[in-house]
Amino acid sequence: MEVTVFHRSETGAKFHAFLDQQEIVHNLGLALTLFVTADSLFDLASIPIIRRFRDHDGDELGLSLHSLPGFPTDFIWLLSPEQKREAIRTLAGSFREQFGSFPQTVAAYHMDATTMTILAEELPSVTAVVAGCFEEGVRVFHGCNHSWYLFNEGMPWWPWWPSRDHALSPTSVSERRFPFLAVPHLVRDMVLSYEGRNDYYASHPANVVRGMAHGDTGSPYDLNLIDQYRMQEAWNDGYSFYSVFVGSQWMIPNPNIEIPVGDIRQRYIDQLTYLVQLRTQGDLTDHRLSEFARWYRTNGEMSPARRFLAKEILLGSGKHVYWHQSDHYRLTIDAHQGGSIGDLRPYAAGFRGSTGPDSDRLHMGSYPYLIQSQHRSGSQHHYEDGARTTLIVADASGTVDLTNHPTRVERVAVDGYETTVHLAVTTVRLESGTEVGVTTSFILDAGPSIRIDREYTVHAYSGYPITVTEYFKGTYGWTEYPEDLRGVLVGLITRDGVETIPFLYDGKTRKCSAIREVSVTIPQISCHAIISPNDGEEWDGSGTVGTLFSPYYTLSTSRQIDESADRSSICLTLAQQS
Amino acid sequence: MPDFGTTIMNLRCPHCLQREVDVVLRRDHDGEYWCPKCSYTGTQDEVRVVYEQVRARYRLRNTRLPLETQLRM
Repeated sequence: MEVTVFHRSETGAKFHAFLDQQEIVHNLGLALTLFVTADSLFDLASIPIIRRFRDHDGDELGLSLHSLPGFPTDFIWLLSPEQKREAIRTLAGSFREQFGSFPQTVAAYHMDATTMTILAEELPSVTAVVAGCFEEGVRVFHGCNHSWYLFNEGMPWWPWWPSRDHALSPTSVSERRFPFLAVPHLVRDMVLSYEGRNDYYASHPANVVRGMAHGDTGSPYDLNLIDQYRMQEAWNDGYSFYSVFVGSQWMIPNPNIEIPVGDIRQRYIDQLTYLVQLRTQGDLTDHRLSEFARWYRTNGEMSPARRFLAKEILLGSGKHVYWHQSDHYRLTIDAHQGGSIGDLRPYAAGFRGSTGPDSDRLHMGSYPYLIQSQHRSGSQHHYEDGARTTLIVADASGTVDLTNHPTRVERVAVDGYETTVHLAVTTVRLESGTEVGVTTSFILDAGPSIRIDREYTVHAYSGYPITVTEYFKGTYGWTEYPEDLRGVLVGLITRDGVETIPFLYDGKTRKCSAIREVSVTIPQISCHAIISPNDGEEWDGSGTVGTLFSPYYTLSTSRQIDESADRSSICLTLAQQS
Repeated sequence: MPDFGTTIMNLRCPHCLQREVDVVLRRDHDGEYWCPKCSYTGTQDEVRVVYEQVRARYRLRNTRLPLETQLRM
């Protein structure tokens, strides 16, 4: 596993805590990247101390863009392009003056494409940036008194080459990307950051305490999370990445911490000591950030995909969530909801966006979703279901929705560019008495399609024909609130022609037999999504546009299956709107 | 450091915390805590009782799950 540890320099009340953190890491001998803030750059007393960290302790010095004195806000991504350029020029100039060269690494909680463009123009020395806080968005906004305008949902959880279209969108195409590597601020619990506040559940012992998830003694969850990240080597060609970035504000009395500061400090030491132990065993390598960027250029292109099998390790639910990221999409399979797609970000759409007062998106840095089942209802358990996929099994006696049957990820198999996510068999029972065993596999290759294969075994067959429906209920958005769907177009293509349904909030449905494609076009995010049968069988298709009380489109394909055993296959393909 | 006035720095509203919302409690002159966002009030002992309920949901918080165990989960 590849590991980076970051600190941010501090002055004033946090200065001594900062020095203590530095000493902890230096004593442990971990490679450290120290991001120097504006406050420190203009504090003459700090400069010789920071130089000593570089010259004596071997720290890499990077530039922190957090805290921007003299600007309207401390958050670089929310400034105008002119202010972003001025801030970068001023701080980089001062950095060079104090330390003799421009920084190779730069950090902010979030960087938008405009900030990255300016960085690339102004600082060709930069090889890597800290550019996002994984999945920080709606829930942290809620949890922080609706006053923390950091929206980073939809980004890769591991280092990525940022696209010039949208900084949180990854691309391996060198012409389309910025010349530096982006890394996340730290890493998260990949189950709990999907369903709850991601900052509570992260590689950050103090925030784990903030969420009250710490052990009564010791730091089992902090260490368990490290091991969960180590586990990912099994299906990522031996690669995994883990990062630590604990600010000094957590090492002094903090309004969000109810235990003694000394306990927080000890938990930080426990976390880092375990990393050292693993390094000693040969199980990880620690890097300064520019070193990691060099390592990644040589070793990081082993696969076009990143895979994360998350197993819930804190509440004891046994829940599995599988994440997959490629140039074309970020996919989250929620095995606890029967293997439904719980989150889907269509990078293939090439959605363009930056933040700032000049931008249409203003503060919204997140990459849009087609599905976010936690924000947008998912399975039906109050009034109506929302964004999700599922399989519906039906006969004349009724229907069963696979979402309501939790399963688990049985195996992740990687063969070259192809990943197969095998889910454990789920058996559903219809009112008629017929039982259908469903085994689902997601086949994910280097292209923009997600293939869903099912195997069926039928028991206690009652005599009623069995129909299966592949169901995709989507929308688009950035938050938990619906966006304007006018302009969205649902289409059905058969061998006889094309039917379209404009989204007018009128609840219209069209059905066709011998369907080739059911699709949706979303001009607002330049996205085209297509469901198509993939097994040579004849399927019926259906497209629905919702109402103001159900702001979703639904694409589905159905067919009968054999009463003893059968297989089906469909593809969900994502593309840029033509 | 922001000026929290009469804020006691080390207790958050347990009712808000159950909803994953951080709100620092205020304290009356008689020692009763109250939440500026919701209607919660309580003594320090009552607050800490709810904290234990928050922690109780993390059933594995004291369980070490090494790599080999997680692979089997």
